[in-house]
Amino acid sequence: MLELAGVSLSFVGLTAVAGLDLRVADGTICSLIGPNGAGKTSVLNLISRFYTPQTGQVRFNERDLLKLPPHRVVEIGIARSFQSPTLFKNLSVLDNLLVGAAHLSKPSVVEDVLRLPRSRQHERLARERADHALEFLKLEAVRDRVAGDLPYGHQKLVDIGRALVADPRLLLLDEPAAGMEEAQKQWLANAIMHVPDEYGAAVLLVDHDMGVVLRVSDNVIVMNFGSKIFEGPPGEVRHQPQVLAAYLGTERGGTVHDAQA
Amino acid sequence: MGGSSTRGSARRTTSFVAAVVVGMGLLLATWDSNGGSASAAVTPGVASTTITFGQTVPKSGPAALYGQSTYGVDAYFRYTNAHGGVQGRTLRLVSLDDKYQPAVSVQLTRDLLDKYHVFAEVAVNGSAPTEGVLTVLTPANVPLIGPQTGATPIQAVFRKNLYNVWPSYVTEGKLLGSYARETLHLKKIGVLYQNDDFGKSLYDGVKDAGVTATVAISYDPSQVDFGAQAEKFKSAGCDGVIILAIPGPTISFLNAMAAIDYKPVRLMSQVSAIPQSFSAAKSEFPGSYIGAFIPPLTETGNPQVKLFLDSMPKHEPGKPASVFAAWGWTEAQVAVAGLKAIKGPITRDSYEAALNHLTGLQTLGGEVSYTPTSHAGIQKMFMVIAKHGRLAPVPGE
Amino acid sequence: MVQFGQDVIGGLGFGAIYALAALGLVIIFKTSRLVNFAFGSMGTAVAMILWTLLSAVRLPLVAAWLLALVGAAVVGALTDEALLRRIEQAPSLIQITITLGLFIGIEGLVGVLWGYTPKPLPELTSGGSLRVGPYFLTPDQLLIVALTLVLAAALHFVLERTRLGLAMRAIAQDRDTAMLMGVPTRRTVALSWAWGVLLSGLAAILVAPAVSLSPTMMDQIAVFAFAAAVLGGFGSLAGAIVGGFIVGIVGNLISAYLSTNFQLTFIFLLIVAVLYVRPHGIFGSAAQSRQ
Ligand SMILES: Nc1ncnc2c1ncn2[C@@H]1O[C@H](COP(=O)(O)OP(=O)(O)O)[C@@H](O)[C@H]1O
Ligand SMILES: [Mg+2]
Repeated sequence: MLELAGVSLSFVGLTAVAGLDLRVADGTICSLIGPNGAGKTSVLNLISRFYTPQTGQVRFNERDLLKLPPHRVVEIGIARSFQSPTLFKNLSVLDNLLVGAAHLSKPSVVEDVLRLPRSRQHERLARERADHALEFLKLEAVRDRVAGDLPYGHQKLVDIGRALVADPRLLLLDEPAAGMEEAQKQWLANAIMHVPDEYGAAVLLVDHDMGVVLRVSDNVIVMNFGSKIFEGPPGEVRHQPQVLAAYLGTERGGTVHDAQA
Repeated sequence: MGGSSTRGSARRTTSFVAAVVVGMGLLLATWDSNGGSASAAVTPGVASTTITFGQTVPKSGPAALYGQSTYGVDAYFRYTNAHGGVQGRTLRLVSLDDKYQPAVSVQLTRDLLDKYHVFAEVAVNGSAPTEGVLTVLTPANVPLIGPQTGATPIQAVFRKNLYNVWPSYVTEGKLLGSYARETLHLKKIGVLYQNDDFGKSLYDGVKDAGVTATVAISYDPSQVDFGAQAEKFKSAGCDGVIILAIPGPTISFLNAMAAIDYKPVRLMSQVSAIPQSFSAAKSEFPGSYIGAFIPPLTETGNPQVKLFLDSMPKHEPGKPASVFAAWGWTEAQVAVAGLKAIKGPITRDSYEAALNHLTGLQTLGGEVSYTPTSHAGIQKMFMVIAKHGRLAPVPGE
Repeated sequence: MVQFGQDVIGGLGFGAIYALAALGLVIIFKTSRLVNFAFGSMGTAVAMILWTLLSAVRLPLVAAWLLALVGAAVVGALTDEALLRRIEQAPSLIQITITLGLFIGIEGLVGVLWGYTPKPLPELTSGGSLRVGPYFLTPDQLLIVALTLVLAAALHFVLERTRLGLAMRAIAQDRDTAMLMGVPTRRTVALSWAWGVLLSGLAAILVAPAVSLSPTMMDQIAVFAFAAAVLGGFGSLAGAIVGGFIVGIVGNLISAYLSTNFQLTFIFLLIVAVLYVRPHGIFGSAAQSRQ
């Protein structure tokens, strides 16, 4: 469904993504890993249309993504979470989730203000999706808390929840497990694994945590200096010398093996 | 902004014409002297076919209403031009919008002298702006006829180049005060006065008339909510209130009194006597006494009023024949009478000399007389009463 | 004591006007982060249009009112669409300059179109003052206060309970993210401009019968309304309302017991004092002003 072909993105004097090919198939979980600065977030930002690549194509369900402005991306079914959550900090968790449903239907202003049927129907749908996301991500207890007051880990979950409420076909997650405790990570990995069944969405996951990545992924892509250095099923990743080299070269210590414990 | 663009372009044409005329005059002067005959120095603003006057008035901003006085000056100038002008010359007026800001008035007055080369100024509006304008005109000995103010700092100091037309505010205040005390027999009199030269000069006059105010309150001209003031007069039991205010605050104050069902006898300054706006105040406005020098403009039996009312639609079609226009008309009457009294060449000195000997000049606003040592304005004021949206003479006077 | 009570009551009417105008400021500021300094002259323009509808077109009062207010909303939305959208990203100094310019421009235009003669706008209610015990109230004052409270409640409802309100709150927090979530940001911001100008217009229409209609009518009221918004935390609806009433009542008391010449001075001293104790206004939160 998602297809990047020969995509390159450079910033002034620096190539962040270099001729990358990438595919995510319907209902699968694909992970993008690589050392810091490898270009992973840049790939997500390209898909979100924050950046436009200098060369290459980005297609989603046969549609040329590069023709869309960023705020239309969610309408065609791509939602995302951010490396550092960009919540509406003064709004409650529930309201944050409800904003995720903003694009799902467009009752007119009059309908909204007078709460006419179409507006009510939208609100009902949004509430259902939000309630489901709260349950799915175990956020029921903080439903009415102000988002900005929550601990970091919870904020990351709300960010993911908001993306799920948007009813995506493809969910982009940028380091969702970063900053979480081990037990929480395992639980999150479990939840991510269930996204395709529960929400009917494929996942493009960026994360540093090998344990999480190897457990949830159908396909793993390893990037370094903007290029793909390996692609394959999770079972093969840790045996690849170039992957090891990339990690050892930048992050002292055999992360790949350690993380497997 | 307030001045119409046609006036603006007319002004530019005027100044261009004036510049050309002045330039040609200079050439002629040289040529003359070559020919051996002496020639007088050229007087600014006096060309072979025109005499140019200038003025600064607010045409926008809070005091913009007073800008209507320009219509009266224009109308009287055109009336004069239609009747042969002065010494074969037509009168012109360059009128600039100072927004009632003295700093702007000063700048524009310099422009009037340097760019527009006006001969004299007429009907400059406002106390503070006039004070500013005089700082430019007096050192240059440019005559100013009829500043629209009766404030003490302007009226009580003799200036060679300044000719008052308005009665002083002290005169007006005295009239209001004595009328309240002696004719209306009010027991407890409240005074609301603006916190500047205008309000204070009027209040001085009220005190001169022997009135001891039960309550006297000053206000800032930008104020809109007069509920507290109305309540003060009411709870002090004032049976009469003298309102020494400009139109906006006067209307707000009248409405505030109506809101608390307080109906004292009201006396107010002619500065706020705007019949068009009576309806802007609640039913409380009619019945108010106003000290005036311009007679009620309904008195068509008065030939001065008739001439004004007949001339306005003819010479300033579409412009309101308001009391403000009547101010300008009156001041222009004085300015023109002075010009006409000049025998020989028109210079600023000959103009002042002629003005200094005007006696018993009848104008729309009353009688004006000057001497070389007194340039005081109209002395006679009378009371009128607001009735059915108009000003009428007080019955039995 | 009676006088004190009457002074408080007297301040309520104008307080409600300040509150309405402050609401208009706050609504616009919330979504567009712009302080609409032109709100006073925009309100005056609406009141002038109403005057024309009543005196020249001779529409019935209610119809003229509705038309003028709908006109205000449309003008608000168009102002955003045509002008302010283009300066969204501009430095705030530029934005301030532009809305200030708009203020001066509109005031001048109103002067040219309608002239400077004070004009009457009819009151909404007829009949004289009501007497409640020792106090006097005009039916208009009552109506203005009631209308202000009802409108504030309605706005609160829209903001807290509807999708549109959620969109506004989300935009107020983080416009870019809201846009990415598919929130119709343009429409919502234009709509809050419509609301804001409508409220300014309403304030002007309601105050005009008491002070008479002229191009500069709202100048002083705008200053007080701005003070009310600041006092309330510039972002909170409740703050704008409470701020409006405080400014109205305190202003009236100051001019009753001190001098009207000190009104502005004291109001601003009050603001300084409040901001000293509560840096984000009475109802503002730290997070809000961090935005
Ligand atoms: N907006 C930007 N401007 C300039 N350089 C950027 C920008 N975003 C990312 N980069 C650079 O591009 C490279 C890839 O960054 P990023 O995609 O964030 O890597 P990763 O997410 O894999 O850690 C880094 O060197 C980073 O500094
Ligand atoms: Mg990253």
